[in-house]
Amino acid sequence: MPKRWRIDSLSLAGFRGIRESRTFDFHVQRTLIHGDNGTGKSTIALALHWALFGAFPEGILQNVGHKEFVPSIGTPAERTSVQVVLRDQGGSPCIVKRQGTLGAKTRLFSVQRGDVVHVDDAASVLQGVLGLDQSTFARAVLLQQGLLRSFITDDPKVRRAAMDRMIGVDDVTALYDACKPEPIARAIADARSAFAAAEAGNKANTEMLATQWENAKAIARQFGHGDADLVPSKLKALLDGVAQKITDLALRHDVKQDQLAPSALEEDLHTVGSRFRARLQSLRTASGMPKRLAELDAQRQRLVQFRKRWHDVTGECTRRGEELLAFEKACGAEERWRERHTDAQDALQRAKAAEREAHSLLSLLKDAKAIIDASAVSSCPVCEQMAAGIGPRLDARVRALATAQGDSLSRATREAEARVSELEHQLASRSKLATSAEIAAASVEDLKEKVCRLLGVVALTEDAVDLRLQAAGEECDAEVASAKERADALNDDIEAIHRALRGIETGVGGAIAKRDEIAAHEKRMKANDSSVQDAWIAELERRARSVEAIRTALHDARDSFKKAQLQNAEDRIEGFRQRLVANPMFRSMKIDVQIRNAVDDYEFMLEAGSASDPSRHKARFILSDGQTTATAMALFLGLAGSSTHNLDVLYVDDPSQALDRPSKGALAEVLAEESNLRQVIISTEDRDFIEALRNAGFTNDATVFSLENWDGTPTVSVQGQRVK
Amino acid sequence: MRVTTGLPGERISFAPRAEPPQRSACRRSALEAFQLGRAGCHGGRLKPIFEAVAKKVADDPQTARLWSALCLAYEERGAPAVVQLIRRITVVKDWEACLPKEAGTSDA
Repeated sequence: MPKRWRIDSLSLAGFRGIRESRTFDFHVQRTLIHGDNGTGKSTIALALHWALFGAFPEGILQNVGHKEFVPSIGTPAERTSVQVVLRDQGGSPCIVKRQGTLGAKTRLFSVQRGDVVHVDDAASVLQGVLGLDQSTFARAVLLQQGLLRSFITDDPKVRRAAMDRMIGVDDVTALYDACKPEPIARAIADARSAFAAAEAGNKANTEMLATQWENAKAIARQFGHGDADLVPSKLKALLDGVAQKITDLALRHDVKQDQLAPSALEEDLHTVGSRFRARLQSLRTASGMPKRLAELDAQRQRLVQFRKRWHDVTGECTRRGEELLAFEKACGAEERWRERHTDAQDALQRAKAAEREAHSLLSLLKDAKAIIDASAVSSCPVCEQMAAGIGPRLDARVRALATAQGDSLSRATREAEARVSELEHQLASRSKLATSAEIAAASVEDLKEKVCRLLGVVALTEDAVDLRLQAAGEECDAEVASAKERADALNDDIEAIHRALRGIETGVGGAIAKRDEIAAHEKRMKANDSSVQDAWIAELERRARSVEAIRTALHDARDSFKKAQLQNAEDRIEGFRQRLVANPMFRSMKIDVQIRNAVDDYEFMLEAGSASDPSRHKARFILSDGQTTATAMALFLGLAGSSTHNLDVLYVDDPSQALDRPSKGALAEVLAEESNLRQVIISTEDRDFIEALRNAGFTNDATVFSLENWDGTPTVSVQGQRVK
Repeated sequence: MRVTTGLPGERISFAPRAEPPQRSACRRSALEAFQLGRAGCHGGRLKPIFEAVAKKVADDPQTARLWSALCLAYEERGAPAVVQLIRRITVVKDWEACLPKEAGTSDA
């Protein structure tokens, strides 16, 4: 026999409309709470719900904004507290206290033994104690008008949700709705189209790769590689062969190098190629061929230049000598020219002396004439001749000296000067020619010395220079030709190795890479071949069937459960309906469940007529709002009575809305009868209903709370006595 | 929240769970976890439904395991987890390997 718990008391403080601490002692018996709107009646129901579950029923608050909703205005959230004391048949208490808004730790202990046991999730433990969860509480313990209204709406979804909640399968419905096979169906369709696309792409790729494979083989053949070479195992051998060729080449050209490391299988072909090319480049450099060729070429250039210059210098020297000889042949030897120059200079001196004497005589004669004329002497002081006769002669003599004689002397002087100048010019020309010839001869000597140094000889005659230069040039040419021959041979060998390397890289490597690509492609093809694709699609279909099977099983089980629940409660529901809904036309009511678009649709169906000629009518089209409310209340009471849990309480919050007086009276009688079976708590502001309850005997032995004079906290009277 | 009880002669006979639901859910079969999950009696109330489903799908081991996994997902994180699990099985070949081991060993 499970324990049945009733509410002994409810204490609350700082909770919504009750700011100050208030305790409601229900004494585990029937209770009536009455008061005008806004005095806190519904607050008590909410406080009970909140204390037990830390949340509110759907439609009241979507479990958000507790801090705004729960605490009284001006009260800190942490001071909000609700305590419920429950007692079983033996009087043992179970005390539930919730403090703060959300997230408070839970403690569980036995009062009588004084033990304290900490439990992480006391909510589950409490549910275990009471044998009900929030959903059951909301549909089987606490009756609120909001729940009833949902049954009379025209919206089938709302009706279905209300009925599912009332029957207690709303969780199953949520699970059923979530178990949709559509994602799997979509995945199957997607997989099919993806596979089809992949298949088309694979076919095109196969053709393209086949063509590329033939091209790769053709390229390999161009490099001399047959199909047998186009495998990775051959690649190493081919590369090692190239390495050996490089080693042999170094030996042939007398180049000392470190042993070339053989290719490693894990080494990338490109890396091996780069390594081999670097070695070939270093081999070419180390062979000295390019340097030797450059040196020989420079030497050859030098010899050619020297020979050309020799020809130029000796030619110039010969030309200068011939010019000097020609000059002397034409003008005589230098000694003769010097004698003539000396003679001409003497003649010039003489002419100049004669001219100077003439000038002196002229001056003397002029002076004598002047003295004679000024002194009036009778005789010449020089020649003592008579003055009278000398004057004219002096004049004649002066004139003669100043004119013809003077001119003759001047002319003779100029002619002598011209002669001297001419001879000096001739001498200068001859000297210049001689100097040029000397310079040319010195250049020849200088170049000869250089040629000696170039050819490495001590001395050479001029005649031998050209021959030796020619011979050296010919020797150099021969050396260049020989070196070039060797360099060409080296280059040819290197080029051959390069080509072999290219053949391996481009031909063999390219073909192997293509073969790998084809293998990967075939692997992909194999992975995506029709059998794999079909297997995956089959697996998806199997999963879809599993989901569908679960869904169907869930649907069937839920339906069976609902039918059983409704069937169990049917008589009770009908009994309540007949008492609450006064309508002589309809003899019974059934809850009709129809499936429309795979969704249940509940309908209250009223049956009229006789048993032999029945007719069925939708209650919501026939009944008034009040009658529909009463019908829904009958449903609630019937189902609530069928629910099995350990909370022996029926809490009815404001049940008489939209009911007429007869219905209120019937409801009061029903609730009074129920209160003989369990603890019934009714809150109402309806005075007619209170009167009906009194008439039905509900208030006998009941605790009656009166709430009034609300000023943040209501004034509470019990049985007419004001309490704190 | 604080819950106190005074049950003569017994300590806490109604406390089958001494562990948080997530941890216990990983250690128990899915159906058991569901029955003892966050809703407490929730599973007990709906036990006939879940037992009926389990019985109906028991012949197919894969469907039975999927049902257990769905129960576990729903119990732990609600309907979105169920939707997520169904989406997952559309892409993961070995979806059972992604589940807690106990989920696939339900005796449901």
